[in-house]
Amino acid sequence: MVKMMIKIRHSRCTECQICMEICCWRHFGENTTKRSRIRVEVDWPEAPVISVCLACKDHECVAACPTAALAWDRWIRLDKDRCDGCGQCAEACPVNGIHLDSHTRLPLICDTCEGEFQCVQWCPTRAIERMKR
Amino acid sequence: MSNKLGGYAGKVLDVDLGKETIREFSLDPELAGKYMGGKGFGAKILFEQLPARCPPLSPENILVFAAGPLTGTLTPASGRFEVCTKSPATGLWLDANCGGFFGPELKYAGFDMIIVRGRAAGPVMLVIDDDRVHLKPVPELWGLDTIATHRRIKDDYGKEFRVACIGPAGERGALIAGIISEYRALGRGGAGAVMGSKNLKALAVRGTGGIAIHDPERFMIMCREAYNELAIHPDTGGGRQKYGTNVILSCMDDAGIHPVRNFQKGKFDGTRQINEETLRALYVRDRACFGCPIYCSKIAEVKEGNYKGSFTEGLDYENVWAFGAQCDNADIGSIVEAEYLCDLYGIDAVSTGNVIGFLMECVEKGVLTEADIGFPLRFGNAEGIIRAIHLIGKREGPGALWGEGVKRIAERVKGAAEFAMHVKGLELPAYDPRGSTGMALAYATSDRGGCHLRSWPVGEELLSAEQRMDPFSDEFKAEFVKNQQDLFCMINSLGICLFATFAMNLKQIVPLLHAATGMEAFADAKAILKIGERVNNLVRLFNLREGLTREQDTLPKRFFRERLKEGRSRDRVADLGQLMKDYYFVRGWDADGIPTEKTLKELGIYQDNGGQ
Repeated sequence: MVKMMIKIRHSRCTECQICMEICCWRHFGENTTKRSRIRVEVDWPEAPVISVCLACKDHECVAACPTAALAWDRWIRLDKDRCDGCGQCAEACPVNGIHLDSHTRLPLICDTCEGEFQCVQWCPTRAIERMKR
Repeated sequence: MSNKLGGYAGKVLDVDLGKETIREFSLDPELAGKYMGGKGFGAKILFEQLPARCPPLSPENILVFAAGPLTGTLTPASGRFEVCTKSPATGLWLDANCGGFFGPELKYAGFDMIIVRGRAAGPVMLVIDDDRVHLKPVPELWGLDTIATHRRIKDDYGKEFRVACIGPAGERGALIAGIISEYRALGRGGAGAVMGSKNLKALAVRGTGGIAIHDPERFMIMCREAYNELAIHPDTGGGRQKYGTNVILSCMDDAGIHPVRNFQKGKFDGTRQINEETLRALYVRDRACFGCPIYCSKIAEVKEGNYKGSFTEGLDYENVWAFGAQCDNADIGSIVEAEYLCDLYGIDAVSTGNVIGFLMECVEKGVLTEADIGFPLRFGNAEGIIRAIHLIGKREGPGALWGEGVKRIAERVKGAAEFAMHVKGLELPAYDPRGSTGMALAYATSDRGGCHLRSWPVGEELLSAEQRMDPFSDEFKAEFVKNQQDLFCMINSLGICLFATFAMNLKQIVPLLHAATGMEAFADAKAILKIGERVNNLVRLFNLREGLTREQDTLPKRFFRERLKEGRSRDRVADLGQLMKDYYFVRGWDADGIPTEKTLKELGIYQDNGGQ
C-alpha cells in the first residue's frame, strides 16, 4: 500500500482557513476553525504559516508520551482513555503539528481523514497537497 | 439550548458605554425569521430604538454590529458582517459591510449581534472572550493608527483575538472615517466617526465555540457544490483571483464610464500605466477573507520610483480609481501609498479620493487658491495627494474641513457646489452614471447615498457575457434595480460576500440557507426577496423620518448638464425623469417616494410596530 502524506506550500496559502473549517466539520460536525488539526497562522502582513502533522518517520510525539496513549499506524492514533492531556506530545513535535483541543484538552493530530485528506480536497489554491512518502 | 436555530449563534449583546452595563439575551427567532440578520437586524433596531432626528455623533446614536446566519459557516465567502448606524455624513441610514475574520469570530464567541449605545467617559475597548465580556479603559491605544492598534491588541491579548478599531481620523470625528477590521475596512459613511464619538477605540473578540447546522448532510453537499460553482466561474474562479477587483478596470475605461478629473471625463489617458496588468505586477501575494476561495485581496508592493517600498493590502478597483483617474494621477506608487495611508488613519479611501479630486477641481476652476490649500494640489500631482491625506487623517489645518467630505466643503467654498459630486452627502464610487442608466438609478435611490453596493447594474449592462441589458436604455431598469437592491440587502444580511453571487444565484443560496437554519421562513427565493424588500422599506421609513425628501433622490447636477466628450458613452447625459417614476411605482411608493399603506401592509411592517 502506498503511504501518503501532506505536502505544504506556504507561499500559496491565502489564509482563507477553509482547511481548518473542513477539518473541524469532518471531525466534530461543527462550523468552527478552533478545533482543527491543521492550523494557518498569520502575522500580518507576513505570509501565513501552515502547521500540521507531517507524519515524520521519527514519531517523536509517540516517544514523548508518558502514558503511551499515542501509537503509529498509518497515522498517529490516540487512545483517549490513556491520554491525560499533559501536552508533552505537542511540545515534542518538531513541526508544531499538534495542538490541544480547548474543549477537551486532548491533542488534535492529523489522521489524514483516514486517507481522504479533506483539507487537500477543499484547499482552493493547492497550498496543501497529497504526496507519496 | 433546545430552541436554538441552526446557523445562528443564538445570543445578542447589548452594551451601554455611558452606564457601563453589558446585557446579554438570546436571539428572538421571530426577529431572525422576519429580518434575517446583518442589515435586517440593524434596520429593525435603529427604526424602533433610535430617537428620531438624533444627532449622529451624540451619545444617543446606536451602533449595531451584526453577523448573518451563514457568517462563519462552511458556506464559501462567509466572512461578512455589517455595522449599522445613523451616518454623520448623510444624516441618514448607514450600513457598511466588511469581510475578514471579525464576523466569524463573533459568532464563535456565541453572538449574532452587538448593540452599542451611549458614550464612554474615556477611551475604552470592548473585549469579548467567549462569554466573558468587559469594557477596558485603553488610554494607551488612543491616538494610535489602526495597524499599531491591531498589533498592540494582538500582542497584549493574543494573536487569536480579532479586532475592529478606528484610527486617529475616527477619534477626531472626521465624517469620512471608517472602521478598520483585520486590515479591511467598513469604510463608507462615517461609521468610524460614530465609534469615535462614543470613545470606543476598538472591539476585540475571541470565540472557541462552533455553529450548529440544522441538516448537516444536505448543507455539506450544497457547500461543496457552491465551491465548485465558484471555481468554474470565469470571474470568481479566474479574473478576480488573478487581478483582484481591478479585473474590471479596462472594461470600465472602454465603456467610457471610468470617471476622470472629478467626473469631467469618462475615459482615462493614464489607463495604460495603471490598468489591471500593471497593477498585477505589484501583487506580492493573495489574501482571502474567511472561508473564501476567491481571494480577491492582494498585498501589493511598489518596486520602483518615488514610493519604492510602499505596500498595502487590497488595492481595490474603487481605491485605484479614487487616487488614480479621479485625481488624473497615473503614478502607481502614489496610489499604493495613498491606500496604505487611508487604512492607517482609518479613513474611507473612496471618499478621500473624491475629496482630493474635488479640491483639485476647485483649484483648477479658481474657486480655491494654492494659498487656501497651503501646497500645490493640481490634477496629476501625486505628492499633493499624499500630503492631503496626511492632513485629513490627522485633521490638521485645512484637513479638518476636508475630512467632513465633499458636501460640507462645497457649503463653505463659494462656487464649488456646481461640481460637488455626492448623492445625499456620500461621495460617488468609480462608475459614471451618464454611461449607465442602471447605475444612475442605483446611485439616486441608494439608501446610504452615493454607493455601488445597493445595486450594481453595470454587471448586467457591461460585463455580462450575454450583454443582457442596454446601458443606455431605461427599459426594465427600475425593476432590475429594485430587485437587485432587495437581493443585495439579503446577501449582506446573510453574511456572505456579494462577489459570491456572481457564481451563486438564489437557486443555490436558498436551499443552502434552509439546510443551515431549518427555518420555514427561508424556504423559497420569493420569501427571501420579500424579506429584502421589507428591510429596504423599513430603511426608507427610517430615512424619511430623518428628513429625507424626494428631491434628494437625484444625482449631482453635472451629470444632467455636461455631456461626456469621449469614449463609448460620448454625448450622454443622465436623465432620471422616467426612471424615478418607474422606480417609485415598482417599489409601491407614492409620487413623493413614501411607501404606501398598501405596500407596508403587504410587507407586514405596520404589524411590527404594534399594529398602529
